[in-house]
Amino acid sequence: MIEISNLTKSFSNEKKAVSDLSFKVNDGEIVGFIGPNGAGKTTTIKMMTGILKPDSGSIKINEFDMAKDAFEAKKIIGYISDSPDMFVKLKGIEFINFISDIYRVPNDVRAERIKYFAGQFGLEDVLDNSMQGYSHGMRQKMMIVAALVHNPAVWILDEPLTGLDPQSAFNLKNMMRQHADEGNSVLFSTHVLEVAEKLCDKVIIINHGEKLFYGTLDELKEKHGNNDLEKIFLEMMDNEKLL
Amino acid sequence: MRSYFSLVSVFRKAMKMDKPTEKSQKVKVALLGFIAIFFVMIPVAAGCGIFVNLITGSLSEVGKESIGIELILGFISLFTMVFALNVIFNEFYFSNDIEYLLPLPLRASQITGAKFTTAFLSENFMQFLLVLTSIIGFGLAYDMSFLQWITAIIGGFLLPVIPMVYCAIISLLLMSFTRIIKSRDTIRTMSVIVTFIILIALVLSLGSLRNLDFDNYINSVAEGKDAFAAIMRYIFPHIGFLIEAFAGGSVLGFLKYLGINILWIAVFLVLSELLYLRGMTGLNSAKVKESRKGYEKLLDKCKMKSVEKAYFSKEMKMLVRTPVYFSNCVAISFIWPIFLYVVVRVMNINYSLTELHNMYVENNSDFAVIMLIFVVGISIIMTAMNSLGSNAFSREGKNFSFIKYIPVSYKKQWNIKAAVSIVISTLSIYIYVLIFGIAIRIPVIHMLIYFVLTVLSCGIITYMGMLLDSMRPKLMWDDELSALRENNNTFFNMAVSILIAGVLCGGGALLHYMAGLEFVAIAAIILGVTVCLIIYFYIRSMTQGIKNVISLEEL
Ligand SMILES: Nc1ncnc2c1ncn2[C@@H]1O[C@H](COP(=O)(O)OP(=O)(O)OP(=O)(O)O)[C@@H](O)[C@H]1O
Ligand SMILES: [Mg+2]
Repeated sequence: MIEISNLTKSFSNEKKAVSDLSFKVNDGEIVGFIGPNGAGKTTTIKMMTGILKPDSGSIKINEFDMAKDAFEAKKIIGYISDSPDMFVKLKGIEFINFISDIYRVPNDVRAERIKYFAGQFGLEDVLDNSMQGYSHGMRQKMMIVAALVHNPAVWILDEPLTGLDPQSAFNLKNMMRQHADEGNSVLFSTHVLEVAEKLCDKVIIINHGEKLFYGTLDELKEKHGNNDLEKIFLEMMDNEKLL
Repeated sequence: MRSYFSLVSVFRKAMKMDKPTEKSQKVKVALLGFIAIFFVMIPVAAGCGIFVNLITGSLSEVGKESIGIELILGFISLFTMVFALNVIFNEFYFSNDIEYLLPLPLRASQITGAKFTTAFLSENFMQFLLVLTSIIGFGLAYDMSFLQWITAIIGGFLLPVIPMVYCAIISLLLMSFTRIIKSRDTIRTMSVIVTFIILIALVLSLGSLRNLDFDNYINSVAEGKDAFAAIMRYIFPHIGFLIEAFAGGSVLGFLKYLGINILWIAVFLVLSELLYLRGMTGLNSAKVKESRKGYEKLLDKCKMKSVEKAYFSKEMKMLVRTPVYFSNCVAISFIWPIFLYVVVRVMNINYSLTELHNMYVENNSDFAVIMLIFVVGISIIMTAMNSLGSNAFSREGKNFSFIKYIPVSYKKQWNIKAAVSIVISTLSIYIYVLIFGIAIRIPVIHMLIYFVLTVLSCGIITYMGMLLDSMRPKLMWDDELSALRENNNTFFNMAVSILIAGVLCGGGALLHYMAGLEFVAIAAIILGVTVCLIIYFYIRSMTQGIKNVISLEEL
């Protein structure tokens, strides 16, 4: 479960990157995080993972409050950042092992999990190579493996599907569904509305750091009397401009 | 021309360090800058000037007054070349902005010209200071007219142009006619090797200078018999013109100097047009080997390590596998004995091991105390030099946020990073102390004292460096070299380290030579001071330092 209440954050310039944002991702739910470029998605996600400190507001990850129990919360978060170029001097396998050590993945399941993910994303042949020689998509896959190898309860994924080939994207979407069905929570940001439509139980739409909508897709469609998510989205952004 | 200027200004902006915003930080930065300028830059530059001044004075008796300045300018040019080679290669071929620049409607020479200018402007403050003080030293001994002063200063400012143009031309030629250099890592490794070769050549040429027979040396330089000077005259003919211009007051000399500069720049620009784009192709093709055979075996080897061990070995791998870090942070720590060797050779110190042993163990031995002071001093200086502490966070760059979202406490991460620096620094110092100690049979208890003091000294500078770096690390960089070069924290750390080394070593020497204190007493005092310092910096790190890290949000 992820619970965000009245979250606010501004950077050195006066404008608020995230403004009084509240929403909840229940256990068993996939929530899509949608908004135009610069809307504040990455900023919100970075606050949820402890990278940025909120100016005000609170974040709860399962039973842990990010302000008090950040350390415990971090253990159960699986986070994919929006840039996949990390520690590229390491070999793929070294990277995964390093992350597994950090998150204390025990010996008896480690090899099995690595094997599973490598199979899902077709990484078997490259694990022994330095990540410097990986393509963008291969690095993105490594980030996914690194985020999920410790079997975290709460998944927080910043544009996880960018750069993935169709098969890998399909597999990841399945994993997300399965993980939620097992009673866990998944939050992911995306620009691809079709993905959100197919995959998400709920969506949260923000712009300029403010919440425009939060709820199920059916509610959204009903509210706008329209069945086309793309049209609804564009309409919402247009209305924003008028205000 | 417009595109050239706008490129230069964009490149220069990218290099800037972020300005401190808080008031207390501004004061700290100003204070550190003050220490750096007054305790490091000015003394070094002044030393250089005084050296030239003295030499010029004594040489003018024999009518060879310009040899001193000629040698200094030659040295500076040579070092400019050594340092610039790496920078220029990197700027021309491997910096990340290249892929954005190439599709733009720019001429090759505009790109290389702008990159060259940026490199020139950013590299040369310290060099210019050295050139300037040397010229002042010379001018004071030589009595120059106003016009000569002006020529000297303009000429001095332009001095690095030709060495850097050489680097640019070398990189253009190498990149377009060979396929040796495929990635920036290759060139880093190569430039490290070249630097070492030049260093060793210098050491050997200086080492042959037994007895410091200065007259002989000057004569051989003047007659063109000294190989080093002869080669220098051959590759840097412009130095001759410059000296002709300001020492001889010859306008023609100055015109020749300007002419040769313009000529080389023209050659460089024409070569850029012809070769730059050609050298661009075939880059960045990292080797990717495929092997499914080893896959099962690979999985078998996935065994759990402790967090500390895993984190430590990751840090080590990053250091060793990134050539820039390897050369600037690891390898550099291990080369100090080369300089010691030069000193020993030049001063013609020549004792047998038994004599050294006897000197060491004699009652209230000067030698033992000198060694004690030396070990502490070199530990402090080398730890500052390798900048493992003062770059601990800057090195992370865009990976900095990793520190924040993993479930490992900041304290632990800080201490592991510190441990990496302390282990490498201590090793690089103590390994030689150990060899020497065994060779001359230093008592074990002394060897232990040296070890403890080495660890403590390296620790102080490491924690201090990390503390400085946590205040405002350079996180926005796109190649590792700028993480090191454009990070002022290293420079500040060095300045304060020199101060600490000065106090500790100077104090130790005073206590021995003035108050007659013995080895053990001095060791105890230094130990006391270093323990206090490390406790101070450790506590500061764990409180203020961690706060700094938490509040860092540039990404
Ligand atoms: N480090 C920073 N310093 C200053 N402003 C920032 C910083 N990071 C983000 N911002 C600002 O915060 C706002 C939100 O940015 P954010 O990265 O969260 O957007 P986003 O929704 O993730 O966009 P995208 O879809 O492009 O990834 C933007 O206006 C951005 O300019
Ligand atoms: Mg984003």
